[in-house]
Amino acid sequence: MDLEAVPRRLELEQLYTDYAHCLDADELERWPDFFTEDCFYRITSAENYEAGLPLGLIYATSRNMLNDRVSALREANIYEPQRYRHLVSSIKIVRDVAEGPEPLDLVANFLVVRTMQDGAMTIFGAGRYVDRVKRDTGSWKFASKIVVLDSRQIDTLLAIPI
Amino acid sequence: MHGTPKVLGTTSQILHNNWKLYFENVRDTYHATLLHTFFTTFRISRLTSEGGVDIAEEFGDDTTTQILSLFPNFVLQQIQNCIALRLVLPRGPDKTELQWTYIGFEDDDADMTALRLGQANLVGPAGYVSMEGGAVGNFIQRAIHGSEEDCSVLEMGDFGHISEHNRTTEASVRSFWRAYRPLMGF
Repeated sequence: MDLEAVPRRLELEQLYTDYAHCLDADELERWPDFFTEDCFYRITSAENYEAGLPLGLIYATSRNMLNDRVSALREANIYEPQRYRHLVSSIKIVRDVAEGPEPLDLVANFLVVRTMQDGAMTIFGAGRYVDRVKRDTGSWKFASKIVVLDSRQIDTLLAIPI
Repeated sequence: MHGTPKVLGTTSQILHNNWKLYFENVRDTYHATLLHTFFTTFRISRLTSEGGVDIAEEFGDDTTTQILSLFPNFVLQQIQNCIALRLVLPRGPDKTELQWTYIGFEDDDADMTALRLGQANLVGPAGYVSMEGGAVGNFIQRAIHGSEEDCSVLEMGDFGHISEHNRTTEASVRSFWRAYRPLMGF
């Protein structure tokens, strides 16, 4: 790793750290700010992803659609109180700046533990983020984030984003 | 025949309730606007930008939402342009797997596919409209443990099981039990 890559690496790790803490702290109103205005966000299974099937459990083609998702969770949808704990690791830059200007393509692993109000804990999801990031008004943002869950099964419901 | 169906994707949802509770939910024709508050809160419109939801009239029958349940465990759903097949699989007395297969058609253009994928946000485990369906069966399952000697009577809309022109009836739920009981020897 050359010296210039080190600060960029730290910035990108900070992006993932902030993203995880935002969701885990139930600060959902800030969640869309991690994305560019014309972003793409999709949660799918490895099965769909690897078969090239386009379905998303959550499927958004703009930051406004992410705002809508948050509004619905806060104002309309009914689900039991729950919290996530994201463990994000193994962040890998797939396409580096050396190969051209931004955006950068990254993959990262995640594990999400869900804890319900009664204390029941489950591994809610594990998988990889397939991401594209670019600088937007001074900071790195997700231009695209595909959440690829290893399992096709969702326990009960998926309310809070991953 | 509308065209050749093509699969847009699949998902699976684990429900912690008996499979029949899901089927009662599907066949309960008046719960939608009570349970799925998204319908009434947002009137299927977006909050943060102008405009509403895009709907393309597809089948020429003036029907935009139809939940067709086939005894004992299959559901065909059309909500606007989002079409999905739901298979209800019992995984134990208090566990059910709901397998979703979303479809479009081979002759869909890119815009139509985009429309279907956008509307798929309404249904499934993370669906704006349907996410409550994953939890509500478990609420009932938990509640009935304390009253195993009790029974419920489904008599909204009288006792018949005939087609009706309104949704405030339990006729469809009764029809399920009417088919289920002789099969099980009850």
